[in-house]
Amino acid sequence: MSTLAINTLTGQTSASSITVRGEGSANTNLQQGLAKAWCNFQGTSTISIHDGFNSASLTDVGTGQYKVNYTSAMSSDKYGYAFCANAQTDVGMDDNATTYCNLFVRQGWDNTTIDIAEPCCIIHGDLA
Amino acid sequence: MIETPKFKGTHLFARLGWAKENLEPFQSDIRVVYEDGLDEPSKILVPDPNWMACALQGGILPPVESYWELKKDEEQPDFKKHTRGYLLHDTEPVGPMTEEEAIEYLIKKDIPSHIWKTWNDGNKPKMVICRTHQLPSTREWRNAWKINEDIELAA
Repeated sequence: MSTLAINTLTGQTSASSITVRGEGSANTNLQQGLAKAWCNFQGTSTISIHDGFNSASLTDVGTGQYKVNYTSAMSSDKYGYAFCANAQTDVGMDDNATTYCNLFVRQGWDNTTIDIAEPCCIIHGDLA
Repeated sequence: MIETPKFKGTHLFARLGWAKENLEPFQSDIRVVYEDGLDEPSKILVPDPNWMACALQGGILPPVESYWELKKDEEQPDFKKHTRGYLLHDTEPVGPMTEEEAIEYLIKKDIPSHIWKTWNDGNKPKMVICRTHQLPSTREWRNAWKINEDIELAA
């Protein structure tokens, strides 16, 4: 087994694109596969951020509504996200921009917004 | 205290990676409460501990004006994609801030400008900076939270 110890990986054909050999004949792109932000926070009572990356702040917008503000902006507002909460809840993003996303949590059976203890969101896409 | 590398010209995302690896997160107990509509509950801005570490350290974050410029671009009707991301990466990073200065930076970055520019116009303040212990701990009446009209404002 060998160990690769380097500080920076740069694509040869295009500096910002590195291809990783995937399963079978598939190839995947390294940069596109990396999360660009994540945030794990206390979503009940007086909210606070446990840990994360590329989040500058979190706003308690209302019950079951949270706004994550990024430090390094996304290039456009067309990017992907994953938002995790408890079982029996519907979660989603109802508004976003290059520097923030607005997340919500609703009870699955009556659509009422509710706070949850430890939600986590992950952002994928292109950085500005 | 660890010295910040010369980061001008380094992508902000890479700087954050350095900070995450090298700086101790700083959990501030300062919160910013603001109202953005009569029929909406008060909103509470919470600083990220890793971001706070960057602000206190200095040499990592871009000037807040860089975000304002990007926001102007994004507000254009034909906006599709940022073309001036270099404003975040190539502008000289700001120096170390105090906790209070960092919160002021965050207010100017993450709270709509129509609130912080006119926070004390009108009948009562629209924005208050406080400590966590001054906020209601129960969520029972969460949607009824409002900034107290009799609040004593710091000079």
